[in-house]
Amino acid sequence: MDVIFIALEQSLLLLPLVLGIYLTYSIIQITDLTVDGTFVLGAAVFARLITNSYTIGISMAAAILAGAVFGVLVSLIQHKNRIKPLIAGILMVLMLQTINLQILGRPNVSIYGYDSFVKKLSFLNDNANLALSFISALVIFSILILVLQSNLGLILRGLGDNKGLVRKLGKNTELYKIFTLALSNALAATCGALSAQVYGYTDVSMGYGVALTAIGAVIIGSQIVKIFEKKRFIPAFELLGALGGTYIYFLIINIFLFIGLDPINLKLVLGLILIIFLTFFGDKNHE
Amino acid sequence: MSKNILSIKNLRLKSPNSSVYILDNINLTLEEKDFLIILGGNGSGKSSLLKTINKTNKFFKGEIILDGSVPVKTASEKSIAGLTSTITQEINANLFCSMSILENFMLYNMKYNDSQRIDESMLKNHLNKYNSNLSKKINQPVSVLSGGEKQSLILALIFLRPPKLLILDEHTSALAPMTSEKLMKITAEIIKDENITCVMATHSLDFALKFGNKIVALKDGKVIYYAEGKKKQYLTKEELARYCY
Amino acid sequence: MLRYILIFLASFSCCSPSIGLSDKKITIILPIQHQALNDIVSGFQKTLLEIYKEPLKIKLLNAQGDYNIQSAMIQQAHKDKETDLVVTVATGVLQSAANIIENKPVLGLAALYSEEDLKKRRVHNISVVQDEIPISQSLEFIRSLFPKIKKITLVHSNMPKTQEEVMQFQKLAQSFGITVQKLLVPNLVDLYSVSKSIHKDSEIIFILKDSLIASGINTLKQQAAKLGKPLVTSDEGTVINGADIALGVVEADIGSQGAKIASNLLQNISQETRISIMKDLTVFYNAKSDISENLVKSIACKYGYKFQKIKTD
Repeated sequence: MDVIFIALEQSLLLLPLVLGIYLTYSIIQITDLTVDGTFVLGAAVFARLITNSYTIGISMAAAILAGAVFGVLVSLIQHKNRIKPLIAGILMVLMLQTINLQILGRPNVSIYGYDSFVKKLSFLNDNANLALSFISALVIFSILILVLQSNLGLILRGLGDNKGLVRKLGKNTELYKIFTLALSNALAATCGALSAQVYGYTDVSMGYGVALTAIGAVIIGSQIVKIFEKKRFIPAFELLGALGGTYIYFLIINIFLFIGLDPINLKLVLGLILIIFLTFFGDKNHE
Repeated sequence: MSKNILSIKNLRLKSPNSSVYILDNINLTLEEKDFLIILGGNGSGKSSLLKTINKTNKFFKGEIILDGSVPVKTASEKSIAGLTSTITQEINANLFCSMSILENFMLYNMKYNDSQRIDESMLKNHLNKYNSNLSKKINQPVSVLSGGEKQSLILALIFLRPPKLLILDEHTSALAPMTSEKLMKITAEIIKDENITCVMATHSLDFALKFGNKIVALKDGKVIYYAEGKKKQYLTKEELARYCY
Repeated sequence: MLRYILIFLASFSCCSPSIGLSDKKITIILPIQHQALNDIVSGFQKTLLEIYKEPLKIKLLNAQGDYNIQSAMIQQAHKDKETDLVVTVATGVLQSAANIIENKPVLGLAALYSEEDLKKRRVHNISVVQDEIPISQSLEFIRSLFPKIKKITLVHSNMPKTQEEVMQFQKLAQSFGITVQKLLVPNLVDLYSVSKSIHKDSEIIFILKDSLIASGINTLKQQAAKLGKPLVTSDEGTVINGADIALGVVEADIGSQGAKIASNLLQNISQETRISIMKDLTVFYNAKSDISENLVKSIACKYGYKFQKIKTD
């Protein structure tokens, strides 16, 4: 039973980042790996500010804004296909390694004992982390459902389906791309800031591999969703699918740990599962 | 006197990496309700001409004016998009294939009016004019439709708000002959009913003879033949072939 | 399909290294695969089994560098009612465990945890064995070996605590009239190109206790040999892999010291101090080094350090 709830907590905590990847990978069909860097950026900005006596509100807002800014930057790098999105994302992650270290001042900063949402929920004792993860997931979930149900959501889906046609219909596709990448990386930064509060520290290497994990979760989730959606696009199902994919990933980790599988084998197995899904179910139209 | 919907003067378009002219000294005028056929073989320049009119080709010499006053060279993509609609043989280029028919209409509707909602029953009536199968599938993704249904859908989408200038670039050529014929017939009917100004490229002599009130033939980027009105009406296939090929 | 995958994968399950029926259970969590960390754990397990006579079950987990796996391990140890003590190796894991676990003791080996952080805790369940060698001792050792030294190249990474130590080292060296060339290696792949920048007038190449640089010691050794400069380090593993000499702590001794604390924790004996510092230092001497063995032995004797000669291939 514990394994089920541990996996749930971990997946709800990572969900903002996964939903950000869902927006870029599934909706506008761009593979953006910048989140590896903006996840840490959010954590770094939060840690730096909270340990310098800024309020939790300002620290979170600054973290989210920082993520959005770098989302805008990575979009501008890709402007008019000068640099392919995948390369742009990798370059941005590289640059963010330096930037994050500069922000933190050190590779690892403890925020234990400083103000945090976890601290505010400490009356829930052991369930504080789960509660925080759940509340943040719920808020972001609601916002994204509204976005996807709106005309904006329709245009973003159109952008992922047929960018040229969206342009022909008179929409500025670059602006919509900038918006989506800003939102996606803001979500990654939010996830980083929340993770720092749950882990109790920020480390410059904590973002390594999150983008690939999230893409894997999104792909697995999209297959689950197809069973229920029957070819219609239902935003709530889509987002729940992303959660489902994330949950399956963490459930596998936790089950394997529980049954005693050496993590050195676990990573191989997770990689194989992702390869299978990407080969048979991955979208070949991605940039 | 009718307004000139399209006015082309001394149009020249060079190939990007050489000194060859893809279009050389083209002069054309289209008034309201004109239906111009551009006839020519492969490499004659007919697609290039259409792509220059809708500003897909941006770097040209000469002048193209839309709707009497909008110079294509300096106008924004948005304003060109507002005045023209282009249908090509690349069926999927004009559709959002992963999205439903209804969602496609919602997106096309945003071209004209962001806030107005699409009424489903009105939409079904509209679709029935083009293809009766479409109204039964409005919540299904466009990818499940056949080639003919897709082209009918494109017409329906475009004629939600008829453009000032409809540009057809061999839009039926990827379809089977019977479907092609049927679609062309529907196209011509709609053009007539809605009083649309249209320019259509084709390599089919039959279509060239059957449709349109004006015809221009291109070869190697140059105009080699032009006819309108009665002169065009009484052209025979043999004459056309002789003039144009 | 998922069901079949899970069944297939369950067939890979390795038995955790449990030892029969047990009363007490310890979960040990390592962050990455590294020989030094494995040595710490070996020392811990060996000493603990010698001094703790009750039946004991030890579960050893390695997160292989993955934060999600590390987090899952900590969560499971936290929720596992059978786990009586959680042992973590290295600072990151300790911080994460300390943030989540308040219902049982947590012992950090080779980790940093400040007195300030200890005081802030609601529940005082954290104990730490630090493996810090005071910078002043490292510098004193170098100056004893090379009395006329004027310039040192210090190769370092971005690893935790290293930045502060580097600053301290440089400041202290300057007070003795020694210039320090600092070379930062952001990632292991950069070590080769960075090592090309070692100044020709530098007299020794020095590294602190730094697992990233330590894992690339062969590269540094080659460069040192080319330049004809001694390579002085701060841990046993690097000397085994080719460095000339190190003043450090036997990794297994960190584990041993931790085992004594663990034994007390398992018997609910309260700890006087929560932060233990390693006092017994060892000079690790590479048998192939050009530095005089007798000189090294005499210096070790002078400061009361143990001397260990390491024969390499």
